[in-house]
Amino acid sequence: MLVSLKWLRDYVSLPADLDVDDLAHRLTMASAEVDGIHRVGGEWDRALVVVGHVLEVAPHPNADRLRLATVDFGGAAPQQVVCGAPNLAQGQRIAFAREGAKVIDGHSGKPSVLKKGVIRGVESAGMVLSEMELGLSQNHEGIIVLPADAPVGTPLVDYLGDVILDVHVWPNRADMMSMTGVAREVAAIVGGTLSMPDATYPESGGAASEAVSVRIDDPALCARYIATVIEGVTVGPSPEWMQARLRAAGMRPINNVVDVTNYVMLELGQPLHAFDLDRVSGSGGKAEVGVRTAKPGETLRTLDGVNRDLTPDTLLITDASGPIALAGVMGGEATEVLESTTRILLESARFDPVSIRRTGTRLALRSEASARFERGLSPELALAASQRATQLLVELAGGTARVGRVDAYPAPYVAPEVSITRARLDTVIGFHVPTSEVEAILITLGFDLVRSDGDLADGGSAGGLFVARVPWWRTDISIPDDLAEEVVRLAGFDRLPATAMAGAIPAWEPAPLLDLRDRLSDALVAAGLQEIISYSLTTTEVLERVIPREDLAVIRPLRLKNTQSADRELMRPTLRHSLLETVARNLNAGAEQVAIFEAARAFIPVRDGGHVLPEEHEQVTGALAGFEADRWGRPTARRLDFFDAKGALEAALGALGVTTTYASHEEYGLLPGHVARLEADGEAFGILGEVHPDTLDAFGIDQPVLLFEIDLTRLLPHLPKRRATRSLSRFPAVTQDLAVVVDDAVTAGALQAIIEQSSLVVSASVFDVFKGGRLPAGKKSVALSIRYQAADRTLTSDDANKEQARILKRLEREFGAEQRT
Amino acid sequence: MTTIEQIAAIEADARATLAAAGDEGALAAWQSGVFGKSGTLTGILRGLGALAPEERKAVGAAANLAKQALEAALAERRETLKAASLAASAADALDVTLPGRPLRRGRLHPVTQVRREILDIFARLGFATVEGPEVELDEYNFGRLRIPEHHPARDMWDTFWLDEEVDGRQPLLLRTHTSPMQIRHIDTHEPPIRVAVPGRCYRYEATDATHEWMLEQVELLAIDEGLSLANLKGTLQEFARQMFGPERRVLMRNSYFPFVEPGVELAVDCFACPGDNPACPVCRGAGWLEIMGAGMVHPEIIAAAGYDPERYTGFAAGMGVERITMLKFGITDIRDLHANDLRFLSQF
Repeated sequence: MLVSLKWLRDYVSLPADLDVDDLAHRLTMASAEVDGIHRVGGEWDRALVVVGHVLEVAPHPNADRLRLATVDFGGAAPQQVVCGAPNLAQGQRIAFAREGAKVIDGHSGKPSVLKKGVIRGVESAGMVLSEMELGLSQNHEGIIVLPADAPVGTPLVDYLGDVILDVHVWPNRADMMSMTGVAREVAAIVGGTLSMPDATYPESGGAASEAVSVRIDDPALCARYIATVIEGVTVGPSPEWMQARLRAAGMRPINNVVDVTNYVMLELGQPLHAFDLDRVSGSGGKAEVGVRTAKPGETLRTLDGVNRDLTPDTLLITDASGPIALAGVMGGEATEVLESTTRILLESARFDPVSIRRTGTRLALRSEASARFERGLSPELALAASQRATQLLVELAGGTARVGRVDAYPAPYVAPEVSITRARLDTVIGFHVPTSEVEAILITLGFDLVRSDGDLADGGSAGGLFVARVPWWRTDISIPDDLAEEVVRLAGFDRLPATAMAGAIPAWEPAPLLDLRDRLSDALVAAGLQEIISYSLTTTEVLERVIPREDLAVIRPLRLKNTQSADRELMRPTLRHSLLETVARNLNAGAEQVAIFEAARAFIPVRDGGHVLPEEHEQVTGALAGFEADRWGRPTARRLDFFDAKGALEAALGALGVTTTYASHEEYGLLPGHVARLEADGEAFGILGEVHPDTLDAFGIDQPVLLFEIDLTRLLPHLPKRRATRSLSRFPAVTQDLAVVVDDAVTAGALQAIIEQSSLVVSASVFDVFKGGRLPAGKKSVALSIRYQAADRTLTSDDANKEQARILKRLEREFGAEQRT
Repeated sequence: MTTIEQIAAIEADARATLAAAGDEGALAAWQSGVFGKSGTLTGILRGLGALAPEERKAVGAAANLAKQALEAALAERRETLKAASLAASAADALDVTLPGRPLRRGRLHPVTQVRREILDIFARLGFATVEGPEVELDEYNFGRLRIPEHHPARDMWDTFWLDEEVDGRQPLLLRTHTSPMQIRHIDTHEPPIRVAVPGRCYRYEATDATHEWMLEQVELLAIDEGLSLANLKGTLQEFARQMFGPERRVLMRNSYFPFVEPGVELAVDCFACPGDNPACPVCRGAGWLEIMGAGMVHPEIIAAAGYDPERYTGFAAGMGVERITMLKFGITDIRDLHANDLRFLSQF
């Protein structure tokens, strides 16, 4: 809501030397945020931009389109300037800029300094200004004509300058969507006397009720409908002062009738609609206005020329022939006020906010009017606005108002009383505001104090109570705590102490999944991986690179109904593409090595009965690519491979105490034969593998990438509750190496597992794998370093030899292994 | 040659070899050649038993003298070699400015670092961390937070809706805030309640330097007997001090959210300037940094969960983790946080 301070001063007395920044700050603290302060005329030089008087207008000797104006600007002698504006006339008061003044260039739109010049052979030392040259608007059609009583020589900023506050009104404050509403808040916050506009007008001729009848079908949708009738009006431009105010509030002047309805909406907050009464049908010379919802098949051509199909929940204004307006949203073309209109039916009504919002949203017709109706207006406002607008139409459009009004008001408003106990007030705000201050605050905000026992509590006894009758314009007040808010915001939040909570700390609940996510992230960071955060939304095209199309058809990822960008279409059911996109982006940016992971959710819809929300799988997905670094941190020729990634995972999962086994696996998008399934206690919880070249191609990556994925929910049950530890043996260990030749298909892990089953073996670690040479095809040699140790004695090399022989026998039996000599 | 003469010859010979021994390996070889199992001097000592008693005494004394002298010579030689080696190594000084051997370094994303810092601070104040779904129902994201369909306050949260039919309606959305977890938590927990709810949220809005359509929030909820707006101020002042410095002050101002009453906005005084520097990169001269919306939990929400709002009051607050991250690290464009450029992320 744009608030002109000049206009605001009509309703609240403010000091001449008002500190605008302070006012904006106090409004923001206690009421509604001031998003911006615009000082109109702030850049106008006081001495050089003044009110001028056109003494004489003469033709330009050398140009038909130009004229010479002699302007008195309060200086020693009048000045002659060249002017091209068609609306220049002798006797006008105008905005005048002297040589040296800063103005906006009417052609380029850029700031410039006015210089003495010669235009078509005539010297010109000043300028009669347009709105554009003053920076007021883009209008450069003609000069600004000031009212005839504008004092000549006055700095223009004093006459035309203003301060516009951009006030962000909360959705619950219908009352503040108006100048008078803001004035009430300002008066309550900084003081000042309120004066609401006078709305009396002369009435003549017949009664309004002889010209129009009103029928409300559903009072829940229309709580009040007031119609007044103004006859003999002349449609034309509204006066300059009204146009200036509409412009200051960001609205475009149209004609005196429309401008009055908009002006009163801005002034009081009530949207109004004017119909051409002669085009509203009825019977017996009486227009029949109805308020009802649409019937099947009904349509309406609105005043923007669009034929609207009406849904049954659309609230309509009708006449004897059918719909004539979308209530509160837009009028119909057939009853629009035209230049020829002489009789006005003025509507001031209270419509249901939900109905207005629904229709406005459906037809994409949200407006200044709907923004007010949607907030829920008081039905009492309708009367004030009807009176004020009728008065202004009589005054400015030259009409006469019929006597009285038609006021359909099925259930007149009764101001609610709201109460709050002293104890509740003190509890909610945590600070004792003295009773006299509570009373003063409520009264200054317009509440009537019905009862005020607050002092009882001040004296220490319980039972104090404040009962206040809510002012009709405050539609947002209904519960005790609403009063608490009124008290604390006006008493000042800065007076609240900062107090620690006194109660007991609630019983702690473990959050194992969160802990796991943090710990695994930390462990991956320790293993040298960088965490990333990527977007949860993606596209079908990208997902098809990592999930087979037929699987995607089964998963059917959650799809957005509305999106503002083509790359946000689906909630991702995997993180793999996000990691690969990030790898590609960083490689393209010149990264020599990329080692990244993300901890986030994958969204899998569950559409069988009973389930509504999708499963949100907590995942940690990572990728490695690029080259190993040398001693200087420069890339070596060695690319990171499967075992670099496995090393990182072993370090990270090892840090968590998870005993992981890696089993050969196949997975879409990964290179067959280069993929492992991660298992703990025989249950899979993740994968690790080299990305398939075709998949890499799809992401525009031209080098190997390792990808891993861990499902945290599946990993969680395998976290050791307690770490298994053992005491170190006090006796020395014996280390012996063993190399065996086995079939290629026998895994090192299987050999290791068998060896480690021996009670004397502390550990067996692979240190060489060899193929080719003198070995037969299909065979390989695996060398292991085996560490023997007993808890109760020193082992001799003889003991170790014997154990190794036993182990070898077993390896022969299970895998056909032969010792390599 | 008498045995005594033999000893003298052994000693002389040993001294000569010792002088030529240039490293620890040569010293060991020398030691074994003289004192070892089949060492020269060992041979003499071993032969003592075969000598006549009076000769044995004299030879024994001479052999022991030689042994002591050679041992001393060995120790001396060792010292000399060590000193020479140290001197050589000191002369061959390291260029200590050369880089260390690089380790691959990982880091947490700055938003994660700040989220954890926020949660740690609130954990110290007794707030446990809980999480909720990112895909939410209209009912939790809006309805039960007192923002029914067609309520004008819905304009405060531009929403991504999902194209999923449930019972003839399309009630699924991407949560616009972490507040739905307020409802989910009080549905399942009894007061006293103190929880912090981190998580991703989504807004249907255009992206610019300060707006992102995906963001992280941390929501706070405390419900107990006698909680007040002053407690909210105290809790958040403590948070601000731990997060931004012990001198910080909290500024509260009026605001509106349908699920709180009274509703407030909270700001902290600028930690980068005294509040009077129009060029301050952090506050741009405002002196205050808006960091969260908050308020007292609306009594209808407490009542709807089955608790007596006369007895229990509570406060709720919500803050943007990216916003606090940007303030803390002086980041000026929020889009840098999701671009995942390693050159940017490696700064944190």
